[in-house]
Amino acid sequence: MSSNAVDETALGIPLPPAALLSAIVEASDDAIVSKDLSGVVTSWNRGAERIFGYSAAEMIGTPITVLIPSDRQGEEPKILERIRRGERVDHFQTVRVRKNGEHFDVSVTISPIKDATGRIVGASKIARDISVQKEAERALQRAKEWTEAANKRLQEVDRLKSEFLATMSHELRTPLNSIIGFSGILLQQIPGPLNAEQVKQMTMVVNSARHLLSLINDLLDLSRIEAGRTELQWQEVDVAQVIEEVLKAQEPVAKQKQLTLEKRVGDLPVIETDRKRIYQVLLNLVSNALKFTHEGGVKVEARQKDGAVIVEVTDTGIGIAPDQLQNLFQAFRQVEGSARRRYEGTGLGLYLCRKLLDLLGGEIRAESEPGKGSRFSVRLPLKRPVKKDQ
Amino acid sequence: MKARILLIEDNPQNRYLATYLLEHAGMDVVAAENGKVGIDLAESSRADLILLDIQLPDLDGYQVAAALRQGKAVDTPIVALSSFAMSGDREKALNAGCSAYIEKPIDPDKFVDQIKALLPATASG
Repeated sequence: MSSNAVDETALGIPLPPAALLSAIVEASDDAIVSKDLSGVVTSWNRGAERIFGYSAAEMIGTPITVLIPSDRQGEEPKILERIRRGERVDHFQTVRVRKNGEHFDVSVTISPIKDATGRIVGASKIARDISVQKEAERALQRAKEWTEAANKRLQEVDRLKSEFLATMSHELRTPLNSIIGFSGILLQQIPGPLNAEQVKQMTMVVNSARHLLSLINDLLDLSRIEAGRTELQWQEVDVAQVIEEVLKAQEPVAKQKQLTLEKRVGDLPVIETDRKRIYQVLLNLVSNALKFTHEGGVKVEARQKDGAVIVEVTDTGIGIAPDQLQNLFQAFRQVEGSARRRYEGTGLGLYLCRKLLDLLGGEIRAESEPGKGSRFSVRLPLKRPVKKDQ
Repeated sequence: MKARILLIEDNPQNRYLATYLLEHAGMDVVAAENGKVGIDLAESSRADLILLDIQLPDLDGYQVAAALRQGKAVDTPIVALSSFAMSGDREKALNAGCSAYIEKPIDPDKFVDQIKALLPATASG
């Protein structure tokens, strides 16, 4: 007996089942209410007071329709209809009104209440305020829509950019067709003989026009690379043959400047690369080397080394100062200084070389000694590199 | 027999330039200033080779090439001339039925040789 009394003091007196249930209902965060079959509220917990803003005293005896927005009043008869049939309404998401007039999102579960004889006498309703959750969903949806719209705009910008490039390419080249074409015809002396001075001047026109064309081509190539629109043509390429073609194209320049132009090419494997791009890079390097060399000459060497083909272009030209060597492969970085102004160029050539080699999985490096000459080394992989981002 | 070239090119300067070079090399040139006239002339001119600019005012060169291949110029070499020079243009021209592609600006020192190399063996320059 005494031990029982001690226990009860220590553990608390257990509540009778109905009181326990009532305590659980009162403690709930959700609104737990009941109504009769005509929709009049018969019980109202603290959760309901908190969520809807009405006290139990205000709500008990009041039709539940005060909680329903005017445009949703039709929901209640349908709910009551289902309750009368003994059906349950699970997690019905809708909108209700707080006492202060604020509309908010709720999820409600409504079940029939039966008396001891099994007759349906009313309904219990559990309502959860899901406005925060709903707002988050709506925010997510808005973010999604915004992202989609932004993507669309980006695609449009991309399309306009490539259209612009194509148009520029066309518009800039069309006048050059006349300039290069007719100055070439005059120089070939097809319409009639030219005197020595006229030949000299027409040669200048032709050379300038061709130079302008190569600048336009460089610019367009770069814009394409920057826009990620360079299409490479991977194929089996004999680098020795490409070197041969580059030397053939540059032979006249070397002759004119009385420079030597030699090659030393070992046994080279056929490599997988873009022939046109490799030609472009090597032509650029050799033509650069000839441009900055006034005595001696240019040598092109190629060999296989460590799973790659190495091509070196060495000149005996003016060289590059150490502090300028590091910026050599940046855009618009033709080595500065008034003395260098006499070398025409946009400073795009080496930057373009580096960008092209990046695309081809290759590398370019330069070493130089001012006054002695420079050496540019290009490293070409044997196989097409595996792309990480695709 | 003189080789006969059909030149479809809308730009008057370009038309004059190509015509001048080809005629000087001893070829006959028939010129059309747009795609429709070009397609008509392809039937009547019996050209040995067709030079086709890609940027034309009415039909573009790809459409003209496709029409020519379905009409009277099934076997005639069609040489596309384009200043687009974007990657893919060459493939587009070849897919449309062109036999070769010359990038503009044309090189006046090489143009005639390029055309001669593309002429069928029966036609001489």
